[in-house]
Amino acid sequence: MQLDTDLTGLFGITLAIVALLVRLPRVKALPLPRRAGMLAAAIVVVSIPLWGVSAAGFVRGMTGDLSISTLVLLALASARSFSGKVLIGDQDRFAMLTTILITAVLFYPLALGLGMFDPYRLGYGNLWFMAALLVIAVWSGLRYSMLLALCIALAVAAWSAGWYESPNLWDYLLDPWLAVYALAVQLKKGLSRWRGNKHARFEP
Amino acid sequence: MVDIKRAITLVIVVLAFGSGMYKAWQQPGPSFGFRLPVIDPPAVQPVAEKKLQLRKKGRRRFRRDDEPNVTVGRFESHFASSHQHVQTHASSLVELKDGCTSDTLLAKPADCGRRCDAATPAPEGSAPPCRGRIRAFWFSGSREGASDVTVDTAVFDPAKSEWSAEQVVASRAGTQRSLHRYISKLGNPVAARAADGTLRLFYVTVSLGGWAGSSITMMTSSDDGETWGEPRRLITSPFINISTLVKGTPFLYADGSMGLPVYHESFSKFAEMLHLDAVGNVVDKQRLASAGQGTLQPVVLLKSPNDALVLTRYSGKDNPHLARSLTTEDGGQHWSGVEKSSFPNPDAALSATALPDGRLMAVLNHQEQGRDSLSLMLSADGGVTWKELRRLEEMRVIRDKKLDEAQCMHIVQGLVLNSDARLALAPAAMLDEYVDSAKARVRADGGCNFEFSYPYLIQAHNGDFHLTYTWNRVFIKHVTFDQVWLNRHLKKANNATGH
Repeated sequence: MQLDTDLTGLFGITLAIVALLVRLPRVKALPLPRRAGMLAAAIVVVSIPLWGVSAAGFVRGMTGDLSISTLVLLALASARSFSGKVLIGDQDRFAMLTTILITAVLFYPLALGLGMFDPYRLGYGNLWFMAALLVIAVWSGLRYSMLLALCIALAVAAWSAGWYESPNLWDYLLDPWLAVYALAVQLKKGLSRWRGNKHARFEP
Repeated sequence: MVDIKRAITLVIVVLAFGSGMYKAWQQPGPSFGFRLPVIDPPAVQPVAEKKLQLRKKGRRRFRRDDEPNVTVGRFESHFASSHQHVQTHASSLVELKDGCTSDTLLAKPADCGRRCDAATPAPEGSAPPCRGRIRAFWFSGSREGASDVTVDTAVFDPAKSEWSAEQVVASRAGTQRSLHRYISKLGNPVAARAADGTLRLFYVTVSLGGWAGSSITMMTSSDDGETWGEPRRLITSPFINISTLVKGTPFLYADGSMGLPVYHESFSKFAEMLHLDAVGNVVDKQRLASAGQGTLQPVVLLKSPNDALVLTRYSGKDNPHLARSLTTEDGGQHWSGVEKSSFPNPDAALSATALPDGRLMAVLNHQEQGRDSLSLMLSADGGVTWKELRRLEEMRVIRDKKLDEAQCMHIVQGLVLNSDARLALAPAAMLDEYVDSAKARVRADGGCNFEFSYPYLIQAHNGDFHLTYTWNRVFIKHVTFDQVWLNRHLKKANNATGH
């Protein structure tokens, strides 16, 4: 059991490293077979223990296990880099990240001690929390963002399967790195919009 | 195409939530109500009413505590750790099973209450009396937070009145290898006996930054600490799982699940309670205080199956600097607001336990600043008022005196000899080593500074008390006393206050 959750944790970190590698311009420029070979080699290298811990294990010590939502985004980004196909539209992705950001802004201060209500406690199998998530997932799948619905559903499935060592559903839904990424995407989009408006203002 | 995608997504949602709901439904929720530890002391000898004789020896009059016709009880101290020239800190204790069955050592059902044990005779053919051996854990290394810090253990045998040699239980490298992630340092260990009789050791590990970046790692032993299973990480915080630390004594709930008092340190400091199931999975986490209240290192005193008092170290800025307390009346389901306790706390750990007769005993630095004294306190009114039973250490008197090295080391030597009587009989070189080890810390800034901190108090099954604490960060000191000694000191304290 312990080894399983360590494997899944290390798998997530390795996926993150690979997803970052494939976005490097030099790697992007390689032909597909060489790119695949290089990434396979990278997976082996980050998995070999050196001085008692592998590179993936070292990163895992710093970052903790990545949420399922992060893994879904990383997997989509890697697939996009390899195949060039866009499986989920940017608008869908942006809607999902907006929700993640709003949730993180509300969740982390409360979970880290602000006031007496700890939303993290709901993650230990609270049925009302699960029901609320179901409503959000169905609504999101029908009207808002299929990616958000997919991330919530996969997080719940992974939690029920005991994918990670965490018994708390929140750790499958959200992690601080995803929140930081969501914030960065929002800032980038805001900046682009501001620049666009600025240029539009000066257009004759 | 879009509709197919949406349909597939919804099917995944339905399937995932089907399994999730099933798991949540099947998962037993945390149960509340406490299981009280079994204390089954032998009949307490009445304390002699006779006034102690005073003998004359030259001009000095002195009192002999070992007067043969006076029952004075047992009070001993030893050094539990023996490694020299290392820093040691943060000890904890657990009683070994030895001759006891796990049932006698563990607890009784919540509806029994403590006193029914004393009234119920042991059935014939029941287990022999427990040997009362105690296992201690602490961390030691070249300095606190160094990568060479290990979690060490040793066993105290009351029959021989001595500690075994210490052994390493966990190291940074071994923990890192087992947890499959980088670990930079180890910290506080706390041990507890689970409902199934196994020992659980919880210890702090850090991957990034200082103690605020701590997580808790757990190991289990089914042979009372001789061998340990693989360490496993407890996930207790949503923010990279950092900033949960242990210090207080764990306890059992009525259903055999375990309560682990913990505290959070990053961004803000506050006390929490973890609820672990039979196999050590976290099933619930309760916030005992919110951020900004400065409550650290909670200690739980179980007064009855439903009533408990929590005392915490205070790390805030309010004056007077008093320890904090909170209570529950429904077995830990709900906790009261945080209140000021009646004793001062210099932002230092304290330890406490509830006695079978309802009295509460605590060990703490009874001062608002510094850690150079340590007091044994007793409360007979559920923790409202506390009386100092004995000053276990007292070095405040020399705080402002400018002592030179020779004077300081003379004091250190006296303290070492007082702490462990067997050193008086040991070769001079051994005593010198102890004194020299202490010198590195006591004279660290050229002064003569003492620290007695991080107490950990338990009452063994036979009623004896065992206390360990950090002695100047170089040794772990162990103090043990029995109920006869306690009652005698209580009587003295009552006489002194005119009660």
